[in-house]
Parts: sequence; C-alpha cells; structure tokens
Amino acid sequence: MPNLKELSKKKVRFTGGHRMCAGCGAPMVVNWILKALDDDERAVISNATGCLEVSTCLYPYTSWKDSWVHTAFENAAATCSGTEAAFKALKKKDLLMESISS
Amino acid sequence: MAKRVSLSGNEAVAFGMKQINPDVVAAFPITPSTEVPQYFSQFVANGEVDTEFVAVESEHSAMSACIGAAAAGGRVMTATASAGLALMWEMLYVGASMRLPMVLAVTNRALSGPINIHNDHSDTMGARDSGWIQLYGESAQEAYDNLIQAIRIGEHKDVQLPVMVCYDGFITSHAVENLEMLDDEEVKKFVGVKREAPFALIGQDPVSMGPLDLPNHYFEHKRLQAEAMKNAKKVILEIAAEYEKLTGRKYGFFEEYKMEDAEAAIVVINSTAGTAKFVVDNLRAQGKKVGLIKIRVFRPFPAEELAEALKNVKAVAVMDKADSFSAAGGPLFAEVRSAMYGRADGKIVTNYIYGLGGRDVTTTQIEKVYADLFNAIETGKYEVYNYLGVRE
Repeated sequence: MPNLKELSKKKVRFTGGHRMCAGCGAPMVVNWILKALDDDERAVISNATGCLEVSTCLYPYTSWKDSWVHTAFENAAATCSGTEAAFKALKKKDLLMESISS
Repeated sequence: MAKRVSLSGNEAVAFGMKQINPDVVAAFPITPSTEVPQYFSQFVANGEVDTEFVAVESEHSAMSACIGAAAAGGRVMTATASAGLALMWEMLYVGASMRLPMVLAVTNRALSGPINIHNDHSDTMGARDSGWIQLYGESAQEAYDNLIQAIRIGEHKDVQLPVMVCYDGFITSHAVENLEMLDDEEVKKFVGVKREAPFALIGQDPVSMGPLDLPNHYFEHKRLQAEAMKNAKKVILEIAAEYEKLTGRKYGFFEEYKMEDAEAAIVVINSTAGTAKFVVDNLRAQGKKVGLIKIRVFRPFPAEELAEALKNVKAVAVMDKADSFSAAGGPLFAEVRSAMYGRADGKIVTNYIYGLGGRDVTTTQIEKVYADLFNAIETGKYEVYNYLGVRE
C-alpha cells in the first residue's frame, strides 16, 4: 500500500475551478478517492444529484477528467450498473475502442 | 427469407429483441409486459444473445440503468407497462433530454388507480410529453415491425432520441396471431452491428454527461431537443420506406382505411382499429361512406398530414382510450382538433372516451359512433364530448 507522499505524486483527475466552497472537504475526498485508480486507467464516475454534482459540472464546464455521469438524485448506483453492463457487453462483442481495454 | 410464425405480441417483441441482439436490457416485470423480459432473459441464459441482462429492483432503476448503458454508448432495450412506466417517469424525461436512443416496448395497460391490469392507453398517453418518440401498433405484426424500425429511428444522427413501441395489453400482448418475421441476418443487417454514439462515457475521450444547466443554456438545449423531434418526422418515413423494400409492409405516420370518399371518419389508436375496420367494411357494404384513420406515430404528432387526410370528411369522431380529465376531451381529441384548426375547418369533430380499464369495445359501439356522426351531419346537432360503453 502506497503512503501519502507516493499518492500525492499520482495523476490529478479532479481539477480546481469548480464552485465548491472554499474549505469544503468534499473536493479533497474526491481527489483522494480517485487516487485508488492506476494512472493508466480510465474511470466512469456516477454522481447523484447534490452539492458536489451541481458544483463540479455546470454546463459548459466540468472538473472531471474521467467520464462522469449524473442522471438524478436517488439512482447513481442504478445508472452505473447500466454503464458497467454496457462495458461488459461491448467488450464481449469486441466493440470497445482500442484505447479502452480493462 | 421471411418466415410465417404464430406468436403472441409479447413473443413477437421478445423474438424481435433477440434478433436485434442489444448490448443491454435492464428490466423489471409487470403485467402484461412481464413475458418480454422473461422470454428475453431465457435467451440470455441460453447464450442465444450477447446481451447483458440487468435484473433491477424497480422500473425506476430499470430506466436509470438503461440510461447509464445508453450513455456508455450501448444499444439498449427494455419493456414495461402501466405503473411500471409511471415509476420510470422521472427518468423518461432525463433519458430524452440526454438525447439517448433507447427502445422501450410498452404493453399498454390502465394506470392505477383504481388498480386494473387490463388495456387502455392512460400509461403512454400520460408520458406523451416526456420527449420520447411514440409508435403504436394494432397487431403483433405491427409491434414487431415498429420495434425493428424503432432502433434505426432513435439512433439516427438527426434524431438521437428514445422510442416507445406501444401495443395493447392482453389484446395484442397475449393473443396469438400469424405474422411474418424477418430472418436473423436481415434484422442484423437492417439495424447494423454497432450503435453510432456521437458522445459516450466509454468512448475515445472522457465526457461529462448530465450537467447542471442553468438559465443561460437550458433553453437552447430544450430547443435542440424539440428540433430533434421535428427531424424524427422525416427519419420515420425514410426508415419506413427502407423497411417496406425489405418486407413489402408499408408504414407511415398513420394508416388511412377507406378514406378516399369518406364522409364520416373515426381516428383511433391500436387494436380497436381492427374492430373498427370490420365495422367500416359492413357499413361500406350498406353503401355508407365511412373511413378510419389509425395513428401509428403520436410523437412526433403528424398534425399537417392528419389535417390533409381529414380535409374532405364532413364529420370525424376521435376515439380516446384514455381520459386526461381536462374537462375538455381526451388527449388524441385535443391534438387532432388542434391540428385541423385553420387547415381543415368547418368539420364536425367529436370525442369518444372508450374502453377504459379494458372495458370491451364492441362493433355495436363503433356502429353507434358512425350513426352519431351521420345524425350530426343531417341535423347539425351533436354532443362534442361523449363516453362510449359506460353505465351512467
């Protein structure tokens, strides 16, 4: 398991300039959660309606460097289950782009 | 080569889905739609399709998962009815506004309450302004044909909208009919192997979908959505022409039955058209100039074309198998009469709410509607708003 110093060197996937309040802990939590990914991995992030969601993706801006989806308040997991299913199906059919492998 | 088969409407739809072989089906069972995901999950279990089946805990989650899958770039299908569609309501609007092609087979069933499992159109009529394209079919054949075409319509680059394929619960969903199915290879070729998604969560570049859209941009996005629905009119006819070449079966916005010289006409949706055509034939044999228009495409609404088709009638009765409780007629009536205004003026236009909660619709009742129309033409006296086959 990497230590904090090593983690701080990993790729930043969540950029500044969002509208979260100064001093809010949520953006920092997001930043650290995303460090669970390897630098060469790509993620799809499903976000429920809420402060984090409305403050980090205001059209036409986004703070998310990975793919990100928001649909409604109560269904972030259900939405993501569909995305995961599509990923599995496209992989099985060999329809994924070469840049996406795992 | 096409093959003749005997299938129920739900079987025809499930076999159609099997031929389409979508990437994802996320579904929750509800009468009378249950058989569609039931049969399809068997195809999945038997390895007859490559589809990922997501068994969800509610229709809200079914539609949410479909949206997540379509946003990822997958080809997505599901099925529901009545309260199931109602539980999807919030997500119907989200899916349409995200401009995600999906195909939803709806076996039309009365909306609670009171709870009732039989057919009327209150479920999809309630969802008429959700931004989904709506195709309606009289028979198992039409449900199957609409399903295959729906994939191409929704995925067209000028449309990019979800499509509901609606057919009557039990009457069409459970009755076994003879129909013609395409070969698997023909369907595969017609729908194509891969959905072309201009933007996708699992695509070349990362993308954010479903942003907060404030007053500075929201209106433009809704305007674009409206434009897509307009574009769908042209695309629906193009796809229908292509499908006709393949099958010989002709589809448009609506079917005109013996309308050439009709003086009295009815406008109707789904299976009741079959009953009404029988009545039209009988009345024609008696020398009465009667005709029928059966709506196939309710969204986008073919207003100009309907007015053109009705410009030579003297009287028209619009049949609604749903009440919108507006105290001013059912939803189809309101839109047909509005379509005629300024284009086909001076006609007698009446409304009949009929068949709610699966109340049988008999030939005698349809004969009464035509008799009312002729009486209106002769006397000039008539009721605009009518309920057909109800005890009062």
